[in-house]
Amino acid sequence: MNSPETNKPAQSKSWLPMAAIACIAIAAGVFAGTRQSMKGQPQVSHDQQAIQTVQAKLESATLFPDDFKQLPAFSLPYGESKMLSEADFKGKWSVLFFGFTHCPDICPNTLNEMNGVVSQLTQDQLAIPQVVFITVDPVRDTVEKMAKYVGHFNEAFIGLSGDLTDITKLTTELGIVASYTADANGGDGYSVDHTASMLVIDPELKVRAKLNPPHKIETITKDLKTIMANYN
Amino acid sequence: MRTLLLSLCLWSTISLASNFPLVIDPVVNETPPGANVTAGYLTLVNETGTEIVITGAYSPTITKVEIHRSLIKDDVAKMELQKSVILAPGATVKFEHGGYHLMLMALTEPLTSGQSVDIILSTSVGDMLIEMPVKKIGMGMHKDQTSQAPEPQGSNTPTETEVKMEESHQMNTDSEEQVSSK
Ligand SMILES: [Cu+2]
Repeated sequence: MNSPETNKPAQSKSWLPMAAIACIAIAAGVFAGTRQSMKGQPQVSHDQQAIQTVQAKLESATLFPDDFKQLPAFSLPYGESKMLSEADFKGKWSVLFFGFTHCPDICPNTLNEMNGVVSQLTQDQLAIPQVVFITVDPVRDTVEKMAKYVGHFNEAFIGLSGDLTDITKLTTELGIVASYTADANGGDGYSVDHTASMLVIDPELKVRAKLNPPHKIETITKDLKTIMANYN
Repeated sequence: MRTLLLSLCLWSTISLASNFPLVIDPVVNETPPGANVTAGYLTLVNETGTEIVITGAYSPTITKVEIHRSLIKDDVAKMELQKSVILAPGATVKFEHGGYHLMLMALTEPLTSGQSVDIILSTSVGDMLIEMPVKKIGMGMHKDQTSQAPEPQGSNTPTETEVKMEESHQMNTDSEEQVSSK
């Protein structure tokens, strides 16, 4: 049964699929190569081509080039006296977005939509990104409040708060807008205008893409799948 | 059971019931823990031949209710207070996620699904009471059916029968004593 003679025909038959796999592997290697050598001048156009190819498949998200931005160093509290830092983003995909709990419409709906995205990805047995919601109103949104709020939508979601200075530093470095407006009807209330799109952070901490509003479960799911499949 | 028949004419003695806009699918989002604000959504259909102006909102149980509009401009999400919302004759105006919403503010207690909230809209044709059921977020909308949406699509379109039922409901009103003045 196991003599070389009986094995031979089988091996020659399997030559074609083997060659196909090899070709795919080479192609993938070339693709990965262009991405990694982004900073080398001659390859820039190749990288742009690769981005354009993936970008064309996206419904709404915007891809960023490899050297666009790295998640900066930070450390902010969440949950029951836990800290999240940039190191916690290594080796996994993450979706990062900003808002506040005094926001009745856009923020809770976005969290709800992200929960819908997570259940879609779970159904399709795909990797689930780490979902991180950062308050732009840490004065009112304490760590405890954020934990409860975010946990209402999904137990696995992380709600970050902390010192206003630390949060402002992170938002500024990421190019996130947060501007404070007193309530038009007077009183002591205020509202926070903030960036509506969400950031997709890749396992190497690169700001890989931004998910543009209006946020729809179907669109985000599809785009995340495309992004995660093309940059792994 | 859908709750589109709940708009009542409070000032029936002054205004004819048919002067009011039709109310479809009123819903208030359940408050996540820690939140003291939430949004209410509904669709208003002006079936009369006259313009109706919504000038404000209040509630016997909620400290502060405002009409807001969410908008995203240059990728920045913001809310704007609306002094008035105009319903042209024949117009349908949706209060929905990402647009107009009733902003329920300074809540002292959480709102949970199963409850309902009385909201009064002040309009150019008088005040109208709307009983708004509280639902889990996303449940009042029919757009994103992917994760949840128990009702079949298209059920939010008003039909002839619904319109007639609405009108007949507006006719028999007896809740004037509930809200006497602002
Ligand atoms: Cu609002």
